[in-house]
Amino acid sequence: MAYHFIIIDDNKIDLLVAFKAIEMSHIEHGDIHQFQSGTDALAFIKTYKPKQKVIMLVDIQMPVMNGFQFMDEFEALPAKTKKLFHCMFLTSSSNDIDRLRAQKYPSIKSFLNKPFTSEVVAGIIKNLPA
Amino acid sequence: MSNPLKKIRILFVDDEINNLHAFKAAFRFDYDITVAQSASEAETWLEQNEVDLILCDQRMPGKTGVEFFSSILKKHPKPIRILVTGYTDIESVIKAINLGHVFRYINKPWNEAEIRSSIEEAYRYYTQSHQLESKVTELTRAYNALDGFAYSVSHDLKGPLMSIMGAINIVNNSPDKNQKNVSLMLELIEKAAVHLNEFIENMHVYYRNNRGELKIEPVNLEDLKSELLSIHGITCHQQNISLTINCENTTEFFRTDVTKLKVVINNLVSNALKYQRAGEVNKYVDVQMRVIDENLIIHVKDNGMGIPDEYLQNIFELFFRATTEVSGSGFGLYNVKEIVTTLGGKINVESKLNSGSTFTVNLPCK
Repeated sequence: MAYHFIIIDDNKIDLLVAFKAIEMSHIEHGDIHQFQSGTDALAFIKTYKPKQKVIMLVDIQMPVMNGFQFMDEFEALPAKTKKLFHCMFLTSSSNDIDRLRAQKYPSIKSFLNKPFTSEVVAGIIKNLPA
Repeated sequence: MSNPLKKIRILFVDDEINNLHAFKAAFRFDYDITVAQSASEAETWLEQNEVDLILCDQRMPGKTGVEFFSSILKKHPKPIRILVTGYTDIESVIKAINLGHVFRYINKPWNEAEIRSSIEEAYRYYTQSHQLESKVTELTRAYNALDGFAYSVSHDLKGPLMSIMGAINIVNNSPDKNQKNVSLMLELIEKAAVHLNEFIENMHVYYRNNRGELKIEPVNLEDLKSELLSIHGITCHQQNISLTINCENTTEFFRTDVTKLKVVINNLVSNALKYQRAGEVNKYVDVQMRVIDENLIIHVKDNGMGIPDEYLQNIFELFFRATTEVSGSGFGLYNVKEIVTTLGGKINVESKLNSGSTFTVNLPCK
């Protein structure tokens, strides 16, 4: 099954790195949407009607709306919308407090550390529930 | 409090007027003394005045000394309380001491030497405990700042490194080391390295400003102007932004820490150049510098993206960033504000979203 991807990261470099890593992982994938802010991503998600499941990678430290604030908004969306997404934090933070805080969000399925590589992509796909 | 030239301020409360006179006569040269004839009179006086030490007689009509002390404890916890009493009241004195209402007690009839040594001892305790209190507050604040600092630094230092590692990984996994991928990733690696370097340099400025001593020199505004033009000229040319710099009263004498002043102006100008608005045809940055009444006033004005009202109060905070559109470290304006404060000056900003910002710095001559 092919997945769509949404990547949210304020850093353009990391967006591109993630994009390339997905492309080069040889997994079958659908669209790859990239957003530099949580606000833009939310606006998109609210009208998004994907045919397949979506893997969403969210950076934590971002200006204006950080990853946690983004997930607060996301968790408030209707359950019907939320169940289309597998959400994960993707961060350079190795901070335990961030990790603990991430557990508060039912929609967050994993906590990934950067760098994001093709191996990580393969690992995500392998571990997803069918 | 610890000013050695300042007399210790004492409030003496006793219902017998003769005792008040005797006390005042004995100590008025050494201490700053106020007397009150009842607990209520003392309470009224305390509403308006500050005092280091309170001595109070135990046996008074109305409130006793112990009652008076426990009643003022909440409103005036700072002054040290000494009870003056006879042996017959010993029970209530012990209770008061155990409850922490009274620092010590003095037996009646008192003698000058005993009072004097009690006052000195109490005052030493008073100053020490207050110094300790302000040290604790100071340290707590420093620790909190350090926590935030460590968290953000680990993100801002690690972030670019992780970008670099990610990019290298992509190059390595590229089949046949695909030339297009390689050059694209090299470009990314360079950007991340530049960003990392900028961050480290800003951190250095931050650190230096926190420790360094000031080096005061005369300022030459014309030199400053040509330096600014040579630093920012290329950027302006590349991005088609007009940079104008005007100096007035350049012959007026003005002194400050020139290196720090340059950090301030350079930061403001490079911010103004950085946060431009994409659609604007006539992009400009205008710098005005003039000395008026021994004050250097600097305006840096642009017609860039401006700052949303709700973020105006936060822009000088460490690691605060108001936009995702342009990359930044969250160090710049914090450093600017810290330096301006160190130099004894003020900084203000006026800004309107989508029409531009004006930063105004006012520095006194050192």
